[in-house]
Amino acid sequence: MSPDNVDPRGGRDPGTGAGLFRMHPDGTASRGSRILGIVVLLASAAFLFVALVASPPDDQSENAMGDLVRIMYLHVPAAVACYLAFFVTAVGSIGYLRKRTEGWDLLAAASAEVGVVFTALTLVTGSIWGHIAWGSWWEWDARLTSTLVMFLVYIGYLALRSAILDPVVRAKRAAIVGVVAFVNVPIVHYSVDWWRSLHQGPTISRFDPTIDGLKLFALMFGMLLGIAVYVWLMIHRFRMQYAAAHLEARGLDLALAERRAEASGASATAQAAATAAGSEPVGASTVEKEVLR
Amino acid sequence: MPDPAIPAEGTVAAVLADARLVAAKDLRLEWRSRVVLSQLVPFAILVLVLFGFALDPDRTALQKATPGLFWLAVLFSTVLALQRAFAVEATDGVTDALRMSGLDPAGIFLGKAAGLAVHLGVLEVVLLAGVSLFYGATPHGPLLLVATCVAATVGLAAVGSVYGILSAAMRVRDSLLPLLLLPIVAPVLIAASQAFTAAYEQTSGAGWRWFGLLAVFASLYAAIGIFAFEQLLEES
Amino acid sequence: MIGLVLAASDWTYVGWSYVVVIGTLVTFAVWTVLRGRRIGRRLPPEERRWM
Repeated sequence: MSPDNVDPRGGRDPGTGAGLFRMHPDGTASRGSRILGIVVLLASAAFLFVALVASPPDDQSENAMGDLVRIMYLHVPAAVACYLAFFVTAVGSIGYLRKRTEGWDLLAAASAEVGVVFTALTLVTGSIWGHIAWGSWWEWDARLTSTLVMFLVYIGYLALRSAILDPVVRAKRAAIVGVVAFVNVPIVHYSVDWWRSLHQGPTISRFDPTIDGLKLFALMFGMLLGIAVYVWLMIHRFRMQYAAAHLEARGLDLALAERRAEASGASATAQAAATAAGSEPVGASTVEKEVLR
Repeated sequence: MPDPAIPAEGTVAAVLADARLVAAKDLRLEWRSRVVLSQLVPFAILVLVLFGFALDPDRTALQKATPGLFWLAVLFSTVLALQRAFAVEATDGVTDALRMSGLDPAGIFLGKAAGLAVHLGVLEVVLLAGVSLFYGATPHGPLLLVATCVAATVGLAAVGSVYGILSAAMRVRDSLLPLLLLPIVAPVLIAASQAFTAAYEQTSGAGWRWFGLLAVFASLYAAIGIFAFEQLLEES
Repeated sequence: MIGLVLAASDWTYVGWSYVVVIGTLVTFAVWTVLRGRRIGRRLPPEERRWM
């Protein structure tokens, strides 16, 4: 067992006092992701200005939404981002089934996690908007309902992933669920659409905003920003998944090495126990704990 | 020299022969243990009775809700039947045995789905009798009723078999399977309930459109199931 | 008067929407970065290929 295995830090800077513009030595950031992050932050500030201050309220159309139209600048981009995320999950799943390489599986996993967050935001903003438009927090609107079903399907996908420990079995089963879940999206959409069209009279008014000029710009800006936020989150979550997967593989090696050391001498056991009890999160026991978590 | 009685490997006939073997195994197992007959059928009837308690003794409310309640009872029973069907495979490493058996994965899938479909069909017959007895619902379009049952059952059996094998041999199977399966079969619940509404209210015309959706669902998931079993049962 | 009250309530909903969305995304991003660091700390640099 080489000393490097005992201290996986390898003498790196512990990273105290790493600021926003300095990359943390242990983190998942790289120069590219840091630049993207700063661009996204600046663009977000500009977006908030355009969406909340510069763009006019909607008061031209017949069923004018007034200032409520500003919720659309969040709702539509979140919806676009979640559909993009689940599309990427499906691509990653198919890629895994074809190539059987770890990267595709991690791509699908990371994208599903980010997608679930964006779906939740789509539902929340849609519900807030609906509270005014329909007068209740929830109506069985076709689009909102099918989004909710999609949300539950991908919650199931993530639950399946977290329930399987063996990385190969997990990747294979998750890939199939990833494909099935995406195929299911249009079926749910059409069935809910038909279902609503049977029962829904024209009484529930849909606001129909005229989106033009600065309002259109705010919407488009929001969509681009949403995609940029998705990409940034994906970069970090993908690297995190990658690190976790390799730590898992390493943790098993370390655990095996520790067992062997345990067998060879009592001093090694004492050392391992001391490391586990210590606050410094290095050492095989802690790694093992992380694997089992 | 290949035996002429055994169809050549990979042909449709060979796949169907494998499917018949697996389905016959499951049905024989059921015939000997009678778990579906002695537990699932009473459970389904119990669900019907509980719906009656939950809604009203008033028959008009129950009649109005009959299609939805019927299919909800079928969905819950499907989850239980699936857990049973794949628990049989998970214990004693039968999944590995199936993998080693040299049976075609597509055949195994079709066999498992067919066995499940037969179980569900029996349940549906009992439930149909139950709703007309307890809720007083009398169908007006028997052809649509039967067609809906067949299409929905095939769809449920296909997608159920996929998720059954996906969650087989997992510790958290019992709680994970409903979470995975029920959102996916939401379109079946919608379409089958609507088709049943049409059949019970004698407006069969609209119902056939929903039957079409069920048929698309069933054939799509049958194709996905064949693909998924090939991926899952191959040597890893 | 009624118009003013309605407009004020509109802004309340708009404000909450923006707070929820931005708050969620920032929390998720910070959690991701911190968790990435926690995991990355135990992994030797040669395994982290983005460095």
